[in-house]
Amino acid sequence: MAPGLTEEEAIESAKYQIAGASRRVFEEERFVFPDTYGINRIRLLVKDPEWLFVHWDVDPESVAELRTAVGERTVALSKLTLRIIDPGNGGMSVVLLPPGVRSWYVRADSTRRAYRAELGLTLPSGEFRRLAESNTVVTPRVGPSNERARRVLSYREAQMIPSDVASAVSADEVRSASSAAGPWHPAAERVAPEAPVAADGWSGERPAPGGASDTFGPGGASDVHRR
Amino acid sequence: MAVGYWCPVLHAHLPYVRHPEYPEFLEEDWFFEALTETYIPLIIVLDGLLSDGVDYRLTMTLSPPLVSMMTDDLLISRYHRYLDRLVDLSGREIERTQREDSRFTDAARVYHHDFSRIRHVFRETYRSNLMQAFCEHRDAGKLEIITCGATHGFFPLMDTVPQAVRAQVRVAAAHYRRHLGREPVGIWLPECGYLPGQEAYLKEAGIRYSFIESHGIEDAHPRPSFGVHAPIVSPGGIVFFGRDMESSRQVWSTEVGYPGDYDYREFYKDVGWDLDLGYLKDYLPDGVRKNLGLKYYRITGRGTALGDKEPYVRAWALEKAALHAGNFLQNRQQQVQHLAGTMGRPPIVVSPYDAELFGHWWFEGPDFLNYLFRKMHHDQDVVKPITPPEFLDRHPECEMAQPPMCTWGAKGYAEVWLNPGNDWIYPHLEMAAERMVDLARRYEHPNDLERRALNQAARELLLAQSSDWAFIMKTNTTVEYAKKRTRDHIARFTYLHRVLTQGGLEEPILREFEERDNIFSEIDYRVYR
Repeated sequence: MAPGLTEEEAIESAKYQIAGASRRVFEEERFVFPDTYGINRIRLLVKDPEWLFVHWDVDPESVAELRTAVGERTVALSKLTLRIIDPGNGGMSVVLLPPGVRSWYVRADSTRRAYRAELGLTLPSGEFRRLAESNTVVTPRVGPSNERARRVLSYREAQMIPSDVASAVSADEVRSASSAAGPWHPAAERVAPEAPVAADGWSGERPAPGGASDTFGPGGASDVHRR
Repeated sequence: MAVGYWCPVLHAHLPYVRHPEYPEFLEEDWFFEALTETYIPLIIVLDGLLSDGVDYRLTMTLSPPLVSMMTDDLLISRYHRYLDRLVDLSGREIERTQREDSRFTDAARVYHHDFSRIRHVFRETYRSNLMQAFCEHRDAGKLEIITCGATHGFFPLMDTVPQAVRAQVRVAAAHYRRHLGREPVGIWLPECGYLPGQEAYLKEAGIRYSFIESHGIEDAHPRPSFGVHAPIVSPGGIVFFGRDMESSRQVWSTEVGYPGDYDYREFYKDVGWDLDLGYLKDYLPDGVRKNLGLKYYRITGRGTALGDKEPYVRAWALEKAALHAGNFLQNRQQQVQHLAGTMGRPPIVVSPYDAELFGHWWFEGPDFLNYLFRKMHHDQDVVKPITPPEFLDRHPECEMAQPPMCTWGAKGYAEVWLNPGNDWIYPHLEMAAERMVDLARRYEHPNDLERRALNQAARELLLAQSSDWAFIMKTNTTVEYAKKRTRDHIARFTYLHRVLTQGGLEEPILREFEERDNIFSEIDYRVYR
């Protein structure tokens, strides 16, 4: 059994086991996943109540345009920067990204909350030039609600609820997550923009905060970007 | 009248694995093994229950990839070959074991009998059409067949491109209509993965109910009064049944669950690895060792090394299966009696399992179900099996609450499908989905060739989205194959996107893609609009 698997996963994975089978010869024409799709894009996903996954792409053209606008040296001294924002209550964590990284795990608040991400370049002056803005996500509620369910619907009545009401649930989620929680005070205050990261750029899921993904909040160099 | 209800749910799914480019392909065995060890043995059990007048109930996902494989001519013909080999090998094994070690002869006879019967059921009874078998049980009112995501895409991580989730649901619903002749009412969310708001896509497809992990109910807001033992309705209008952990653990857990009993068959010791290669040459066409489905040992003991396992005794194993069925029933009786007392209404205990757990992993699983349904029918009236629609007909009132994001993976969220071992796939899957949406908008009136390319692009995207690939990367089983499949589908999609946006489409290449990835022949790319 592979380490770290639950029993259910081990059992489920047995469906795919063909132990000891020789490696197959794959197609000769090998597709290589592109390093970039040539667009400015950032996307946010919820891994669990405590961690977000964010990945992005940068259009080399927009960097070239910036180079023309502010000068090559300024761009060379700039840092690709990730901002994780609580759109409802304010508060932000800032990650000065190491070179070559395309994704990051970001520690979320322990309470249910909405998040949005921004990707941009932080110029030596501290100015943030935004390249892309992400979708908004909501981390899941953990633990039982204090409020007891009172409204009762019949199966037939549930069927009558139109799909556009269901569509509005996502927006309601963002709204309620934004209103329920207080201002976000990202937990870690350390600034470690040059902290070593794994070759694949991943720094999440470590025993304690303190990696580059936890360069939150006030008091450090990243504070200059705080709203 | 029953005090409470038991709702067993078997989630039957395998990724779409079909390789016409090779005469034999190792990973196609996933499907053949599941047919031989799980799906057909289950059909045999259900047929027996029906003919004996046992009033059983079972809810079962038949995922679109699985249905597609069950109805694919190439895979059916290959399965006939697979079965012929098994029957032949097990026949030879009776002779060999008599000659070399008679401790295993009884087991060899059991295999020969079972494989011969399975072949007869597949070939003669159902004429290679297992969908007929499932539909007969459905039409008898015993089996509730639910759908799934088109290719088992993991919805919570697809939400950045909503059209991709919608397509997974709509394509699955259309596929269900085509193969089952009805509208789907229930769905198994792939990996039990729920994200608030995604009910919209279910509603659009006419889906009325689904299932979520226990904390999806327990952590719902406001707090449901009856926990997982009564369904809730979300504000989006979908009824959700929650997974009961107690009954799940009794079967899933290798520590306290039934499948770990020492008299049950050992999964990991197979003749494909133990016997002489020369002897097995007719059954291992590439000369590469693999599981052949004949396993002669029992689990024997906790931590017993494979080399120290003792011979499997079928009679002992069946006795244990009956014993465990009795124990399971007794536990459910006590559970529903206790719950009914506190709830003031009949509880429902929902027990979802991977279908392949029964037979493939737990060899005696179908026998356990057989005994359990019979005991439940004949021996008592406290707990009765039920399907979700039946329960909702009898007890239509549901509390309204909003479940949080949840899955049935480790720790209850997305970690299994989103971790450093597989997170690299998501930028590419998302980009492909965005491009597919763009293609669907861009092509209002495609010519025939373009339409074929657009439909094939949709197939390639759907196949790339199977959660199985991320799962395999996490569980470290056949990682290279999972990576290959992700890469191959994205590669084919990327080619199609390029030629559809820049020109240069070559029909022979498109035809090859269509022949290889032939799932969803009826697909219409406009589902991505």
